[in-house]
Amino acid sequence: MQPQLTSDSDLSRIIAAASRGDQSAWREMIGLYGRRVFALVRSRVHKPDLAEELTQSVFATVAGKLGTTGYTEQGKFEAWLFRIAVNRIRDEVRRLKRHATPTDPVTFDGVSTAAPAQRVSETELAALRKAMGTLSDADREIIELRHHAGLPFATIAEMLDEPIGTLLARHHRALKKLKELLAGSDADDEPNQRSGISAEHAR
Amino acid sequence: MNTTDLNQIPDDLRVIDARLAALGQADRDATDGQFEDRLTRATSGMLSSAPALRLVGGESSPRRAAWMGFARYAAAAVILLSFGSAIYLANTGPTKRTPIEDIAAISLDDLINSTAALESLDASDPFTTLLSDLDTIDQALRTQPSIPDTSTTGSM
Repeated sequence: MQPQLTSDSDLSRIIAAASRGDQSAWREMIGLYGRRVFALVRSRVHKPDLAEELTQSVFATVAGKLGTTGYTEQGKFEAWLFRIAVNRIRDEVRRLKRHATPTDPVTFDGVSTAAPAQRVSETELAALRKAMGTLSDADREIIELRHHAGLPFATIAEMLDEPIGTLLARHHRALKKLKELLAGSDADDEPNQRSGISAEHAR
Repeated sequence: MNTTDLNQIPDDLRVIDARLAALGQADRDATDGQFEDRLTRATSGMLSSAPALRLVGGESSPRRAAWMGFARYAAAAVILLSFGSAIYLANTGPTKRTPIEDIAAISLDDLINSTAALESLDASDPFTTLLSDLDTIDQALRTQPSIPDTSTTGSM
């Protein structure tokens, strides 16, 4: 279970203390946001080592800014933090595309290390991950900011500088596309399930 | 934090939305228990390595940084204006003349008188001291009778 903020003033206090070089406040901030940034990055770059390296670079940037210029929280810290992360991910995705890295999500070594989530099998997660790979970058970004980074729609809209109505429509469209893709994938898997290859999925 | 605000999600898409939430959670859990420690160790140095401003005068703030930036630009502007003014005045002052204009301003009489004055000096000791030479020339110019103006004869 990850730590959660009880109020906005908690976040302001943590940021102010971290800006003064308070190590325990910084540790608290990493407890709040570290895994959320990591999940957002990992969803796109897949390799856990690379995801952790990029996550470190995001937090190094934030620490550097807090340390040099200070920061006054005005309810925009999350948007700022995840905007840095998204920009770092976009840069990395561009770099990976130039180097022709395999893009089939199932082939990535990080998939098998993921702990199976409650009531959703690993097979289903792998299928979902594969389906997400077919979305446009923009639609996929919304899905990941919402489900991996755990951001509310209002913050995502602010980050991406889009009206919330447009954002909700795009999210809705992306969900529908994923649903259709998974329905097709389930239909393809049926013969396998009948032959007992994916017994867990059949249950 | 409400990661699955189902009020925003139509009924037919709730299943896929829940699966995505599970995928997000799986990715958040896809690292070990020392993740936060490693991340803290790797980045906390950036907090304390920073501020020169803090060493000078207490807590750093965006306002202080803004003032320091403004002060730097202001100082640079003053220096540039000073140089610019000095160059402008040196070139446009009312008494400023170029060396060519200085030479052209010397009259023919002055030249002739000066030559005559120099010729009147004692050749054996013309440069004992600069001061005395100048005095001698000055005196000679003052006592030399006027030489008829030859400029109209077309000698130049």
